[in-house]
Amino acid sequence: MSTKIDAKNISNTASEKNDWNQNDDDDWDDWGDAEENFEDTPDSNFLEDNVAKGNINAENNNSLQATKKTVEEPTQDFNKNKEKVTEVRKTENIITATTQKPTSGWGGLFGGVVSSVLSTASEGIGNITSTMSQGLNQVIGVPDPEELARMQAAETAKLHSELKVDDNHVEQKVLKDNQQHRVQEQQEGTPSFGLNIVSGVTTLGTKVLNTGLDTLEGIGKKTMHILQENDPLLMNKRKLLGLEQEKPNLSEVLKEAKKDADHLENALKEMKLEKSREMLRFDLLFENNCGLVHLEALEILSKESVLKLQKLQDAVSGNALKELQETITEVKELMELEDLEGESDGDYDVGELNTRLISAIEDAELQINFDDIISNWRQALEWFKSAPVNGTHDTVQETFAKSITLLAEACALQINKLHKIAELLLVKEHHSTANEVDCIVQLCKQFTMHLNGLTNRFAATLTGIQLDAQTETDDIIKTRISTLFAEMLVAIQQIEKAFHLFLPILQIGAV
Amino acid sequence: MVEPIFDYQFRLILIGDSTVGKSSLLKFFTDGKFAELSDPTVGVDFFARLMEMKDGTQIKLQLWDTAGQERFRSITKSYYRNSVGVLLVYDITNYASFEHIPLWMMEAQRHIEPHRPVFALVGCKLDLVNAGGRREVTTEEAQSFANQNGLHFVETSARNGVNVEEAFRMVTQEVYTRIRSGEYKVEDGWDGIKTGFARPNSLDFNLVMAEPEKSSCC
Repeated sequence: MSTKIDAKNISNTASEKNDWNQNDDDDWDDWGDAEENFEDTPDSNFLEDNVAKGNINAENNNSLQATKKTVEEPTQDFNKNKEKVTEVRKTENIITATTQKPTSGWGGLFGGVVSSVLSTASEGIGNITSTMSQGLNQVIGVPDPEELARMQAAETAKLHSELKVDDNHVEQKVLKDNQQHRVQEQQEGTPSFGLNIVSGVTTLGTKVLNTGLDTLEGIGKKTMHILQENDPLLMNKRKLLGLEQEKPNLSEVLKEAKKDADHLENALKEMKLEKSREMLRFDLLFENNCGLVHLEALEILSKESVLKLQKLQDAVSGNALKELQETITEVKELMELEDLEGESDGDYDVGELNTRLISAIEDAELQINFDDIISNWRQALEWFKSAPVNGTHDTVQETFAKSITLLAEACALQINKLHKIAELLLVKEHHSTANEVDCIVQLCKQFTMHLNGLTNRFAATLTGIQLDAQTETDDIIKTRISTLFAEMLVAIQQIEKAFHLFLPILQIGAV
Repeated sequence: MVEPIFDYQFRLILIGDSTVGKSSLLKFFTDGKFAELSDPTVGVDFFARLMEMKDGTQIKLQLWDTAGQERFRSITKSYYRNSVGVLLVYDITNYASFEHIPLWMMEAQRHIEPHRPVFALVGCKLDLVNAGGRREVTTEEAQSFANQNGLHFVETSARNGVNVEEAFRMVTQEVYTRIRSGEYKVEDGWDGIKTGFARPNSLDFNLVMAEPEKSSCC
């Protein structure tokens, strides 16, 4: 009984398997069998597959029906049962056979990949060999032409005798005088060696030999031609070869290799320099000093304040609304009253800067200091003290790097400060808006002036650099200075942006 | 200075009572130094560091160090929204700071919605306990709170650097895993996750790119 059930189970699974569309779904699990069907074309495969499938279907149906029958008829017939089992096995066999079939797709794919890989590889090798042969031409001296000729003659004779044997073996009825004629030809120096005679018999080998020899001959002729230019008797070259054999040539190769390595190294160095130069951009340095994120945070506070103002306006009506709107407009007008721009030559010390900044903000009554901005300016002043008066291209680059770094840092610190002031204003209990507006205006003005002053001082230093070599170097200084001023304008724009973000923050304090 | 080459930028925020050690934790994480004295944070401060994931992905962490002081509470809330990771920081030697953690967590959840950030519970000042000081929050209690709320948990010391790196790494790794699984995405108008500058692929690319640059500035 158990065998019967097993048989049924198996046949069931078999038929289930069979119902899958083998062409599509079974492709993937035949990975391991790919080699077997490597050369099958997909079309023939498909056909075979279909045929096989049909067979299985038929057989399977049979076996299924048969098993059903046995279940219905409880009287046991072992022989029949055994038959069924074998039938099922057969089906299984066929299934495995078919599952192995539709794999040439993979094979094809692999073939493609492999051949492309090979072709790439051989391309590479081709390049290498050509380079090598070039190198060899430079290195290995060409042997004495007389010797060359002698060697050639010997080789020709040898080859010819071999060929002769060949001919005798294969073509017994070739005319002897014909051969003799060819021998004559070759001994006179004709390079074709009469290989045509035997080409019908020894096809591949001779072909290869032929082309190889032809190429060699071509190279030889060309070399001789070049060697004999302006030196028909090769006297000079012979002397050269005799005196300095392989030694100097070897060192030449080493020199060449070193040159290549140096070239690569220089390229890498250049790349690093390029990278560090790319790092010398205001926006990057500004971000690295957290200037951008402080500005972003200030923007968040500003937007939040706008929302709060909106809510307030929505909540009130009538006279209260009118009053509110008047206050808001008033603050706006106050903010727009003054121009932020200011010129400065940067001729002040840290104390002076500190006093100016403190006095600008003091009416806002905030606990704030400018230590970091002061320290940045101190650094700059220290640098100016020992500023280079003359130097090279590198000096200019170094000064420029210092200036852009300090400019970005100063600007980032200023934005940081403005953000802090905004935060403190927002948590402040009592406001005197008129004072606050004035303070922000004055402070932003001082900030832009300081950025201007810092840039002017660095520009003056750059202009003052006397360059050692007066070749196209003036241009370098000019470009650096104009870049510096362009970056200063970007820095001032950041301060202006921050200033505009202050408006709703001051307005919310006023209402 | 953080190199401009990274694949993602995550914004993580540190919240918790004042003086629990948020700024010191960040100082050690970004600088490797411990400051004996530090001023209370005004509003928010920023730190940044690059972190490499196991698969080599470079992540720039932009760390928002919020003021714990009550008076700044109204503005620090505004900064929550754009965070993808939140470190809930308490002081192991101060039970009140641990008691407030659920409040901090609720606040963060409320403001970051609809985004669901990765939360981590971080105990600070482990060195004080190890030096014989009084522990007020047991590891077990904190661990069980973390388990209940699905938080990562670690006890740290910013003085000797114990587990500082781990605290940030576990949050970063979790965010990165969620990006890989598709749960988190880069979205316009939300700064929790940003993609970084593209990394140059090869030497040749660099050299080609360098050419026009050179001619324009020399």
